[in-house]
Amino acid sequence: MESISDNTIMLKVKSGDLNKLGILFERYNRMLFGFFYRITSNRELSEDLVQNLFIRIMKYRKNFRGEGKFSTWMYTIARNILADHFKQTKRKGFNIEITDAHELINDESIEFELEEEKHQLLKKAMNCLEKEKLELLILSRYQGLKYREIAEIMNSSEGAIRVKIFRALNDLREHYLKLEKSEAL
Amino acid sequence: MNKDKLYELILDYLDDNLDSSQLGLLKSELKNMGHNINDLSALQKLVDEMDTMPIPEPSEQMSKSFYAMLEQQSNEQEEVELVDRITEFIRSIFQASHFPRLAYASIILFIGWGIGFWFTPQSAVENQINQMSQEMQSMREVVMVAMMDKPLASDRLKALQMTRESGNATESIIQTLLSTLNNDPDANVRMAAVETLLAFANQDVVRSGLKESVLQQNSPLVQLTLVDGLIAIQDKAAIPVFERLISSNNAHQLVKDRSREGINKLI
Repeated sequence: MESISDNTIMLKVKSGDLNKLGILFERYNRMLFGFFYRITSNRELSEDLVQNLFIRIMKYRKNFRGEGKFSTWMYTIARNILADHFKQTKRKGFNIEITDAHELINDESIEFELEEEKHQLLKKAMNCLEKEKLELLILSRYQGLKYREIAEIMNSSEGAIRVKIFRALNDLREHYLKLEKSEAL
Repeated sequence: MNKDKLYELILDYLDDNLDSSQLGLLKSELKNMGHNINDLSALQKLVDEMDTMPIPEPSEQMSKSFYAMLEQQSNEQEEVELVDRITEFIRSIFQASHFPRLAYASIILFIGWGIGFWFTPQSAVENQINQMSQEMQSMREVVMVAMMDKPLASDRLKALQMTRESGNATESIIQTLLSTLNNDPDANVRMAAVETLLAFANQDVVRSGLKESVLQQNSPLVQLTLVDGLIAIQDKAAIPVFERLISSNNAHQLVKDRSREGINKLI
């Protein structure tokens, strides 16, 4: 049986059938949790951000026109929520938040003892990236979005997004190699 | 080759999405730039590693918080709609064009009632009141059944509310309510049917109907409403139903959790 499209469901939510939002939650909650977790490295915070995202979808449901893909609209809101979160922390910026994320990684590594060393290294390297580059890599590699969709979310062109992703990968590789060298010392 | 095209080819190479001709194009382009395809192996290795990075599962609390928020929002919306409906109704009554007519009609009705009261023997008045009450009851049944067939869910919700407020239900109304609970396509209506039926939970047919319905429902929200209702009326006979829910592969985790709580409260 063909499942109902995200847009059809969201339009029902928009028209007042709020309980239908449960279907979209079931479809996307893990993916969104992954998106936030890969950026914040904090499980509890990521769960809160997922909750905030659905509250915001509920609040701004009247703004959904159903013209583009629901997931594109959703990730645009997800990025705004992240930006708001980093503003609210009243820190100097993303990089300082990342310092905390490092600590959290170290804490959580106790919980996930079996995690391989290179994954830890890669996590650290990812957290050294600028916020936008990290978001680009996560959206393209983990969230399965097409470059065209990412361009729409980030209000840019498809070509520019490709260039940025390539640069982000290169930066990630450099951070990774640096960390690998420093840990080997 | 422009930069965009080159990056597109490299990213597709990393994703293993190049056919042989595109791969050839990329190799020759890299060669022209003084590189070879093996120079991309470090990036390829990194991408492969990224793809295998594990991520923890979100806790059950995330799902619970979401459904609690959804329930709260739905309740708030219903309250707002109810207030809107009442406001609209009052406004329509006091509209300038209707108000004088309503006043005249009330005066005439009052005078008519007074005349009838003074010129009719007491026993006859009582009989008439009983007869009127029965007629009103049967009229309410007819209206309720008719409204339950309406295509708009809001009409059906109104019918359920009317029944709940009336405080009594005949056998045929109970049957209509049970049929709504099991067959209505709208989950909100089915949840409202549960609430209405709970108002008549002193009847055996209602309690057994609620229990039978739990396993027939496909919406976790309706199942939760039913489970909560059966716990609220302290129906110990619901324990086997809760056990079946817990062992069911299809039931939502929240429903299973609530069933476990229910068993603890009822035993």
